[in-house]
Amino acid sequence: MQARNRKKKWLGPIILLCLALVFLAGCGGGGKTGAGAGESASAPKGAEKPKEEKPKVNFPTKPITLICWSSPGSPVDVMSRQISKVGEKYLGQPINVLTKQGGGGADAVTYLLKQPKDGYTILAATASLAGLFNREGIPFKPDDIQPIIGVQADPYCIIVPGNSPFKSFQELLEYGQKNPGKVTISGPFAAGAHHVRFYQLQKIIKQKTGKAFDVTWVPFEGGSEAVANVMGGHSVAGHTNPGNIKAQVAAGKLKILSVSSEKRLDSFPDVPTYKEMGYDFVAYHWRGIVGPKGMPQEVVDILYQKLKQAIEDPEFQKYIKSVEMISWPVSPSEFDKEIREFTAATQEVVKAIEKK
Amino acid sequence: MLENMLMGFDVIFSWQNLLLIVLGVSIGILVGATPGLSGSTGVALLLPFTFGLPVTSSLVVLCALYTAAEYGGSITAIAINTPGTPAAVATAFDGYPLFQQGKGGKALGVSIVASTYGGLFSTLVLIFASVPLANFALRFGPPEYFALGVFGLTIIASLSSENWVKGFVAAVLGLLLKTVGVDPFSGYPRFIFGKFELMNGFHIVPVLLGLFAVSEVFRMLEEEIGERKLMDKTFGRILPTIKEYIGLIPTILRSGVIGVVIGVMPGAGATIASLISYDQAKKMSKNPEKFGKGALEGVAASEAANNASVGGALIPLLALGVPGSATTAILVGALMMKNITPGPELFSKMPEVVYGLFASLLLANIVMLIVGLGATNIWVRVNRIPKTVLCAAILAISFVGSYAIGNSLFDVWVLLGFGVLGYVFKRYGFPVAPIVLAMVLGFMVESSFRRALLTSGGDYRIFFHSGISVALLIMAVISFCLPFISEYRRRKKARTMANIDIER
Repeated sequence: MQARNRKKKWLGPIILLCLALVFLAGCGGGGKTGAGAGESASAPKGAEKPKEEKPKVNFPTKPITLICWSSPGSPVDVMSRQISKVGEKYLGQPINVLTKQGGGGADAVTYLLKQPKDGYTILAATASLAGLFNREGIPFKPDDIQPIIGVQADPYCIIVPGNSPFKSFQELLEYGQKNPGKVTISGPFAAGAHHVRFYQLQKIIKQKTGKAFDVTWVPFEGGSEAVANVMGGHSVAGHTNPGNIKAQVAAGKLKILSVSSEKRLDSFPDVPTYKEMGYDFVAYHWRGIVGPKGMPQEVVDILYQKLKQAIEDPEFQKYIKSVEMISWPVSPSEFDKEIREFTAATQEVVKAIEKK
Repeated sequence: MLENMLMGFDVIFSWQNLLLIVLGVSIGILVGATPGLSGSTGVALLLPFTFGLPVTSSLVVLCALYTAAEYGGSITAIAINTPGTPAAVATAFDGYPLFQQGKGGKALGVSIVASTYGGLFSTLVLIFASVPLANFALRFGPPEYFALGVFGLTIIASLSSENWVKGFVAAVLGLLLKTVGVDPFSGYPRFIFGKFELMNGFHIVPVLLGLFAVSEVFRMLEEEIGERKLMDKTFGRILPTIKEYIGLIPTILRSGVIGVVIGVMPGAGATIASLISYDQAKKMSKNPEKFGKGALEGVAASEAANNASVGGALIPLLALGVPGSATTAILVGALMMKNITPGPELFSKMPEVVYGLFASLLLANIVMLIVGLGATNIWVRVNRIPKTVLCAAILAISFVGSYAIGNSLFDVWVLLGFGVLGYVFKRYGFPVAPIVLAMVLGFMVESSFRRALLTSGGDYRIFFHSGISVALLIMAVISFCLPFISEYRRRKKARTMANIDIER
């Protein structure tokens, strides 16, 4: 009996400790209050004050919330947390990542639009935003969004199983043009960014060669399931991002046939770009930061400048390189143009699918 | 191999790493036991805190958490009929009845031992057979996943205790509910009625909490609440006897294998593994009628399988670089942060990381056994909480858990809706488990069916092209018919017995 009592005494504090740790962990994920961090970072802001007096607006004076619409650990989430880590150095205030999943991103955008338009609540968006605008029943449009800055651009690539008879993109293309519909391409869901970009490529090929490249798009819920499907040889080819498949290519399980970047990638120097093959197709899966329309222009400018410095920081550049992406700090107006163009392109694909 | 394993243990045996394992296991059990927080959320929440640690240490604490969370889910499933993680749903089928009968200690004791065995077994498989198993998983294309899903659906009969027709009604309702959301093949939103919160369909967590926890609260409210029954102090504390454990060995062994094999598939996971293994345990059992009313085998099967799926899910991650579950997808993020790309070359390039991970998984399971057995005495005390307090607490936990999924109030309404549905179902003798089964498998069946036909250009023969899918479809037919056949035999036997009685 005594032994049992002693055990009880032991367990109480241990469990309390663990509970406290869980709460700590919870705070870190949901949004750290970061009182200590805020104080320590206020010093450099004081020093910069004279310079900043010109735009009149004193921003930021309190922590910023960065909404992330995707699950923790996903590429956008990893990017958001890196921005939060490096951005604090330049903005002088903590940036807290708030995960708000649901509705395929629609919940996050709706939440963003309901917050005060003061720049203290911003959103990490991806090319999937264009897909959202084109969804039925979505109450917001590109006009409701204030683009702030692009962050990174992820090239697309075509993969085939390691033992595939196709050695180059040209061979795959010729086969596909001779046998319409026979080439199956696994990729993320229908009318998603990957599908839209591939559709654009198909159009360019048709213009250039005069012959259609008819394929069957086999959609998956996630990119990695699509990659596994290609590795198992269940489809002829797949559409993904090079950063996802570095290890599999190195192990000979997959071959990469083409990339959609401007220049060849450092880690795949033998893989040709579409541009060199004569197809005028340069495309990236972009990720960036947006806010609600109606934010003060000064705040947009400050956020753009400071986040640009953060993106150019060596620490952030190291991360971008490690995930095989390209740094893409475009200005609000350029970003806006990209969002609108891509929204229109997505609409075209959505209509094409509906016609079928 | 042995040399590498020794190196792995060498890496792990520093007091920091051992402390991290204990920390990971403790947090994991609590995270698992908290509805709404599962292994994947736990790993994601802890991830930012591991940025400062070396790679091995960060993997050690994250994997310890992942393993322990799969066990933790069973605690609330047994004590308050609230599966802490979706994969613990099959644990509640028998664990909660056992708890109500005052055998909570037995249920929890079986759960921790089965979980530990599942975890250890799957780690050993991960160490010795990861490459062949990963290649086996790759052979699963759309037709094979379809066949697996169909096989999974045939266990409805096992989940609906007496009345099959009612079970089928529940399953069909589950399948229908699963069609809500955006159709991934056309991008068209189905049955969302202008509610874009439904874009991704119903999230499984509020559905589970509603059907099991909230409906149970409603049922408890019906009973007399005012009286506070003080239980005997030793009530429910009795752990399983050695003899009982020995009797469970075949079930646990079988479930471990099922858990690993299904865990390896990137398109299936712990929940499917534990449901299928529950069904297998029932079919193999000498007294299947005890299932659903408090069979220790049911708890053992479900828990051994969901913990075995942890090692299974790590197999494609290490052997192929493809995550086998939501949690391992986050581990990819953790590795990427450290500039490491997971994949086959990890074994040759960074053996200390891989074998350190293996060693820490083995150790984490043992720590989990010690912590789990030690804490069992605390969990069984839930019995002594007055029902008024317990009802409020379960409701609060379910509300917070549902809200935490996406920080959205909509999920709380989903929770309440399914709570009412579950209550009505229980009231009229419909089983709720088939709804869950159908919602877990429905999407896999539908999407892989359509994917297979897209791949084949509409040719149905694709389902009979590979040995795996044919075998699974045949197993599905057998599994579907078996309960009917045994029921028929039992009735015939009963009739002849009755005849003999009359003749006498």
